[in-house]
Amino acid sequence: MFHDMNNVKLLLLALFVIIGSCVPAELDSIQAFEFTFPGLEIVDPLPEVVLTEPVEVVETDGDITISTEASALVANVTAAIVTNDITQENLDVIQAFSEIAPNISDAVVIDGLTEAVISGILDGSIQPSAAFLQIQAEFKANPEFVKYFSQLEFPTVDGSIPGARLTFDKRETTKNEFNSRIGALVGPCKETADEIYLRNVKKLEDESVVQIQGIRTNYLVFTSQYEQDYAARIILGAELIADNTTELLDFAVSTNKAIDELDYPDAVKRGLKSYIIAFVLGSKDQLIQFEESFAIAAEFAKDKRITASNVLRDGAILTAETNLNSAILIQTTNYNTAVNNCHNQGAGG
Amino acid sequence: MLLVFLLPFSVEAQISFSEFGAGLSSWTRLYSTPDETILLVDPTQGNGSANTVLVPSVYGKLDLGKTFSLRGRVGYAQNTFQSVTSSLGDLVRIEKIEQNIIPAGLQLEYRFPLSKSSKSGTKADLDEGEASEKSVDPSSKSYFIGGLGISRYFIQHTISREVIGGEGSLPASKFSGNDFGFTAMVGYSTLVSERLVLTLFSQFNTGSYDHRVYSEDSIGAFEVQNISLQGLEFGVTMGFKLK
Repeated sequence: MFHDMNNVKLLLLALFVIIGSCVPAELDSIQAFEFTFPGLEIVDPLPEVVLTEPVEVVETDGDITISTEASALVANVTAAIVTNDITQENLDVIQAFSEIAPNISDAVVIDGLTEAVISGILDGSIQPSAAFLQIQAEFKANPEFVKYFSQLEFPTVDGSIPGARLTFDKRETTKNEFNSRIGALVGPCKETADEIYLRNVKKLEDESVVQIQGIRTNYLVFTSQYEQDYAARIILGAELIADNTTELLDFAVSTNKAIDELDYPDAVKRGLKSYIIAFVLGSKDQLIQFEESFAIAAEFAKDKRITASNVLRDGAILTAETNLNSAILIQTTNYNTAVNNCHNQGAGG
Repeated sequence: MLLVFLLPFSVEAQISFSEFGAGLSSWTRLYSTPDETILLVDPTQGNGSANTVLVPSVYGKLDLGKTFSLRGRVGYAQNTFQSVTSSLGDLVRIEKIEQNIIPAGLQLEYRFPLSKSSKSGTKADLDEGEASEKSVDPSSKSYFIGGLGISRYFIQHTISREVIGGEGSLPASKFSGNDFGFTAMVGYSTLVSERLVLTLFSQFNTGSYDHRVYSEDSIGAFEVQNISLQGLEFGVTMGFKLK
């Protein structure tokens, strides 16, 4: 068959075609080995941090009330406009009132106390005279007269009367710095371990950031609510002061008017007027104290709530950070094991 | 070479398919580049060291007149490269390449007659015709041969990875490619009988091929590594002379 020239040429042509037909082609290969590190491949999620609600802080509003004795005395005096019948017991009390500040004339006491003066003293537009202040001081000096004056009930916070502004230390937390990288090793094994370790740590840190942000947001809701509550308390305090002022003003004005209409000797009127002067000045002092104590109590309650919330928040954050550090420590231990093994086997492994 | 196929029929009488046969050679690859272990874990640093493979082959020869001939040859070489490394304590990686190379070459040869054939000048030979007289010098029994040619190397790698003590084992995967090289040959050919031709030869092969090498530092990234095919081949062929 090889005698046929055409067949021979065909055979050689085929070989020529095989040799020269197509362009060179590079060879592919298997993908590079990917190191696996069982200890580093499992990243447990950080434990959930249980968030506790702050304990409720109980506030009472406080009040300024007119005592039963005062109400009974004034009721008897008011009725006496018609009946001319002030009880002997009340007359004895009024007699004691009239003996206060004998150096001050009846005219100053009886004519000096008008509705305008009462109103002006209570709303702060009129400063009481020295005579009035003396009368108030002498009334205060006699314990027997205390029950005839308005009674101040201070606002309370958790059963205590806040006496002063309190300040709270801000808790400073320090994040534990993690730095246990091993240097001076080379090779894909160590680099791969680095990559996985850093990826795991970042994953944990990202998770922790979200967790801590959630904690902050949770307690920020409480803090915001406490600020709103405080603002509402301030408004309520102003309303209470206004209500008490009106009540005390009505009491003093109506009593003063009744005294003016009484058909009794000046000694009785002087005693009652002196009492009303002391009552008005004492009530004004109580209104001022009430306003201050209410503001203090409201701020104290707010600070106490926010502090409690911050303590819980900081505790939760500390727990989250501790959890993060523990999780990183596990990763670090596994990383060190992996890298030490890389090192033991030499670079490039 | 195309000239062979463009020759007019008027000169066909000078061209004859004169010989075919088989041979065995030893191909010592002399790397001027990294060797195939560059593809494996823990590669050999620097250029590869020489290694030798046996190359069985078949060939056919076409005489182009009295002194020139065209030899076509196809061989088969097989080699294995393996690398074993341990890391991460108990983790052992064994990566292996089973390499198959089919060199297919065409070579233009020139021959010098060295001695008279004992059968030359017989009446039987002379009666074989003019074509035979023109393709082979009937008076020569032995020849010195020199040749230049081109080879194409068809390469197949079967690469596997076995991981002991961890994940990452891969079943054997086949990858194929090819590239070119040139050849230069000298040899001695002699008739050992009326039809059998024994040829001893030495051939220098050039050439290289490209191979992707994937990086362990950056998954998916690779660089193309050139791997030398050059080497010195010593061999023997036994041919059957047609005329």
